Amino acid sequence: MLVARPGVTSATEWVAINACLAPAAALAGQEVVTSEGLGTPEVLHPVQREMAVRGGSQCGYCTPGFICSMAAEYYRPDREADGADHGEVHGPNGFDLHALSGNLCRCTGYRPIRDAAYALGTPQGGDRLADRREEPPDAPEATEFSDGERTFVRPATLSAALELLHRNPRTTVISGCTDWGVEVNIRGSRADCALAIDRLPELRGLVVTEEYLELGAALTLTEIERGLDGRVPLLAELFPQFASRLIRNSATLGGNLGTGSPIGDSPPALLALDARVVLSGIGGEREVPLADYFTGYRQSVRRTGELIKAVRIPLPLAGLTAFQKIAKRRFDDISSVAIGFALDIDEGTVRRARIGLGGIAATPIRAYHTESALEGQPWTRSTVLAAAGLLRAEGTPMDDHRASSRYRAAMLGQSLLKLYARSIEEVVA
Amino acid sequence: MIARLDAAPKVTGQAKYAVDHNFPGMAYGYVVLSTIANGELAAMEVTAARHTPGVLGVYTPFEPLELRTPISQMLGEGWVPLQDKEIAYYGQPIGFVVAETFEAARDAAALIEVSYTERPALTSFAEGLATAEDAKTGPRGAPSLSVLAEGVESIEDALAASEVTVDATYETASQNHAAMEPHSAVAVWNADGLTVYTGNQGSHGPADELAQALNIEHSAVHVVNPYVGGAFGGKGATSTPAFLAAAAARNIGRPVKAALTREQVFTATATRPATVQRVSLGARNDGTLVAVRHDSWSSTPMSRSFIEPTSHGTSREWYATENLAISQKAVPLNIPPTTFMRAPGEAPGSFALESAVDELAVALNMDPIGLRKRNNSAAPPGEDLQWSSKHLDECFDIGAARFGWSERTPGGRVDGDWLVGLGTATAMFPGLRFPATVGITLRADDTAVVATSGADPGTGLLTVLSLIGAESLDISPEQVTPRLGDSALPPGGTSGGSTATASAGSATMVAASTVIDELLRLASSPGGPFDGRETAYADGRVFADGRVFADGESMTFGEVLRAMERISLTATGSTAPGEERTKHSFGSWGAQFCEVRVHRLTREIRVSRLLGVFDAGRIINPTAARSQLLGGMIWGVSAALHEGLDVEANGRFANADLAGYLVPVNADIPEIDTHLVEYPDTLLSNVGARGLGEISIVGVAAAIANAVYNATGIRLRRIPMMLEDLLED
Ligand SMILES: Cc1cc2nc3c(=O)[nH]c(=O)nc-3n(C[C@H](O)[C@H](O)[C@H](O)COP(=O)(O)OP(=O)(O)OC[C@H]3O[C@@H](n4cnc5c(N)ncnc54)[C@H](O)[C@@H]3O)c2cc1C
Repeated sequence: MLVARPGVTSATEWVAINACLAPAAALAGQEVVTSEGLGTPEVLHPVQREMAVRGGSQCGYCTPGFICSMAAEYYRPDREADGADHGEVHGPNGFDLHALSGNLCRCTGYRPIRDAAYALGTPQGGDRLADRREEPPDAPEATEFSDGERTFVRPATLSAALELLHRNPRTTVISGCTDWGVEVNIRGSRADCALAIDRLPELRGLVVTEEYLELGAALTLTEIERGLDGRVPLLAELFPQFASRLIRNSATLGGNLGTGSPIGDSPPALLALDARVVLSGIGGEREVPLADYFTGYRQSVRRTGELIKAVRIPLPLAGLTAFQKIAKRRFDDISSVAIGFALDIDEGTVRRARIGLGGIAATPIRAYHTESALEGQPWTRSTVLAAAGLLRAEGTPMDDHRASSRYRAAMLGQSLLKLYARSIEEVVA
Repeated sequence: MIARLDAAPKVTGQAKYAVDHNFPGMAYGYVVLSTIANGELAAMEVTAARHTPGVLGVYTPFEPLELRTPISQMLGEGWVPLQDKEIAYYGQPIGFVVAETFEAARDAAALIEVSYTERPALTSFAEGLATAEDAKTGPRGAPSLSVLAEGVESIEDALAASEVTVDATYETASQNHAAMEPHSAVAVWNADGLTVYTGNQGSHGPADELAQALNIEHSAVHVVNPYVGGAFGGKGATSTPAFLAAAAARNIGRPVKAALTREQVFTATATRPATVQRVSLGARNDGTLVAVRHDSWSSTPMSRSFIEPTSHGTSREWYATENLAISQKAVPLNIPPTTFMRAPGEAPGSFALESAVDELAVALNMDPIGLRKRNNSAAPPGEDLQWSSKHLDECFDIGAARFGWSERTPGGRVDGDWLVGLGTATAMFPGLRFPATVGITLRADDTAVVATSGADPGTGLLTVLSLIGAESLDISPEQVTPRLGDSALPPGGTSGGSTATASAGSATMVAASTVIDELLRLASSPGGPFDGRETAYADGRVFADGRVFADGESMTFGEVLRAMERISLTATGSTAPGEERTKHSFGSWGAQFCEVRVHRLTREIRVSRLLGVFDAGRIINPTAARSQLLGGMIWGVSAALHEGLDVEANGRFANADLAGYLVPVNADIPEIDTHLVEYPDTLLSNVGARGLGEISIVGVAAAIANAVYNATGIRLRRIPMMLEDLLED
């Protein structure tokens, strides 16, 4: 479905999110549009018309979801229709095919769906949803619902949220709900009290100082991506590989750290960036290096009653960075391994190396052995080969149905070779 | 133009699938599954569940809903849930909770405590090979078959005498149809009997099975199936939710809605078997095949519901060879039921055969297309019945030219960090027909209804009915209302075996000529507008004096009906496969082309280009045909790179959800295109179409593996491909 959210280049943007993961209560007071609201069989919306004409709908079951994702991209204010070829996943109308990566079609009509997407024009005058972008969206209201048994609370301020958490430690914190919604749907989880923190202004800052860059825990990944606009190349490389646009439109950084999953994609990147986690509780704030944050499988130093408020990335950034995610499916898949690199190379010597790894231990980890084998050494093929050998031995990768431990270990080493190959190319170029 | 008649309701969210139907007083059912793979239910403690607020009924094999085992015409003896305490697989339906809300039913189901008398489970296909048995004789004949040239004693002798041989073993994983719509049903009883809204591949079958299972009159069951969210073979049988919702609704006297969750779909329905296939090919140095041996093993559940006929679906028919031997074994395991899935037999079978042919081309140092053309068959080996219409060479020629095949080099090429290779494979799917009856009603308002009970689970049958109906009645498609998905309609158009177009299409033509004869008879009958005169029909009009010409004296069929004070005129037409089977062999053919890129360091495989050229008879609706063909090809990519159910030792599927059971997303899909050579096959049916729902998946996985070999020199013999199989030590 489409939700009206504050925009970057216009007052409102139509953002597509997964209806199946969004608690209805979390949408109180917000403007929502579904495929039923875009057009009717008699008067089709341009997106619906293209899908119908190009044969993009077959069994039709996935169609309303595709329509909404496609409509969000249709209305994206900075989509530029320049008629140029932007590579394999960009249409001449500026349509980014990744906008559809969160939707599955089993029939599978991906080619006609792409034909429809690339045939879209720009919204015409009088288009209700296009005009709507000029006015700011309705702000989410502070709400409290209860059915006698279970409660949903959206507080207005951080202190109110912390107060509630303090009073009732069994409260379930929810943010983008892309993890929690899955728990509810698949495992039948229930929260006696759900505390929505995704709109708390204190958790939504994007601040740049001399020493660090601060990313609010409740910013969605899409908001961070657009807000940073490439300023942190390592993160810019991460975002497109993280789930899909549909998920990134809801998923928050706080949620990604909050789950403590060993295969979350942001920790390897943030570990490489030497990030620190700002924790906020009723008694005040504290800051912990991310490298010390995870203590065991889905465990961390975060205390009951504390919230992740923000993530701080020290400045200046390292010169050579990369994020590599090895997954079975190219997009919208869970990592088999994920690796973040941040290296400072000065006059051919590695001055400082930070490598974050995901998917190879019970928690995201730093590759300390490899880091020290690189630091102080010349950035040469032989250093890299030796370090790659060490990198393969970091962690304790497992065998599962995604990949064998042998493959995971091999990929760690290859990722460093890949980084090296790229750095040489960059020098030559 | 809109590509299909049902597109507008679908793109606007108006299309109503089974669970979109709601009725006053409706209750919700939740299915409970077993958590062991072999044994017997010892007890089910349901007190807590029963006392959960809102719970209306808890049913188990200890307190079952009464259901009898139905026998289906197409599928043989069926299976109905909750009737016995035996557990033969992990995820077997063992209970059903009905409550006021879905959540109450689900929460209560979680409170049921099950105890089992467990027996050791055989779940590993590799281990099961030791106790393989001969497959039952199926629709494709005896499990083993050989054709030997005169004087040749055995296939071993023929292979031994061959100048060049290849011999390799291939593996394909078990798969699930994973249609986007989970199996579901809404059951409503009233004075006339039972109505069940449930997605299926033809509402006649489920109506019959439900009547048997519930022990009520056929005429008392009405199955409605307006829109189906994908089927692919997985909705051929009546689903567990349909049986349980119908029985529970009778029990509690309220409508019941039941749907499987995504995870439940993987075990509580049926899957495509896993296969192991050994293929040995013998050829002369000039590339002439002289011996083909194809031995297949298919996983199958303890009920032996279905085996994947990989040898019969491919080597039996595809190439000319003097000597052929095929065999099919079944490997019974404690796994969920197996059933057909898009191109059963052909899809996994072609991975083995078409990889082996590529291996032979390498051994012979021959171009793989040249090798295939040299061994093109005019008829299945050992049979006299020639292919009715086969233009495979043309498919290869067109494809090779469009794909740039001539630039292929034996060792592939390198593009930056990527190793690039090209591969090809043959595709084939038999030309089949099922019995079908179609009813046509001419109406006084000059419109016509074309109706049959079958389904359009995305295939496009609804639109095909209107196009063939319009053509046969010589009127415009806008005048035709096609109807499907209702067991009250004449039985036909079941979605399966790529038969619906040829079957329902030819029945439509028969129905049209019958209704036109009736109309003419009516028009010239006493009191008719052309009383006693000769009549003729064209352009939706009846012409006087048997002569059709512009400005001739004529009336539209609607005018004739109005003149006779009739609202409508109905006739049915039936067709069935028959005579033609004694004169020809039938099949659609195709040539698959693929380009892959393998990353030098990470070994990631990207399919970068795909082209399929097909010979599938006459094409009725080009846009829908293209969508079907492209869809099948993407299934092939998915089978090669992603799809595979992982069975844990205890019989649980490790990846029974769409996060673990991967199917591609849009940006995974490369430049992909199709081309059709159009030769109507009127020897199969008057429509000239052979159907194309399945052929395009066939051969794709092999084309990809062959391209990977071209790029890397590494032969991958199991799918889905694991990247580690490409690691160099
Ligand atoms: C289809 C799909 C694809 C996915 N793909 C990826 C992927 O590629 N990579 C990846 O890493 N993840 C992936 N995920 C997982 C998920 O999207 C991420 O973990 C996401 O960042 C979670 O953020 P959220 O805001 O949705 O968290 P929620 O679901 O709202 O919360 C998750 C957990 O974090 C806690 N939490 C949330 N915010 C805070 C906070 N500020 N302070 C303390 N605790 C907090 C919650 O209490 C909860 O326990 C995927 C999920 C789905 C459904």
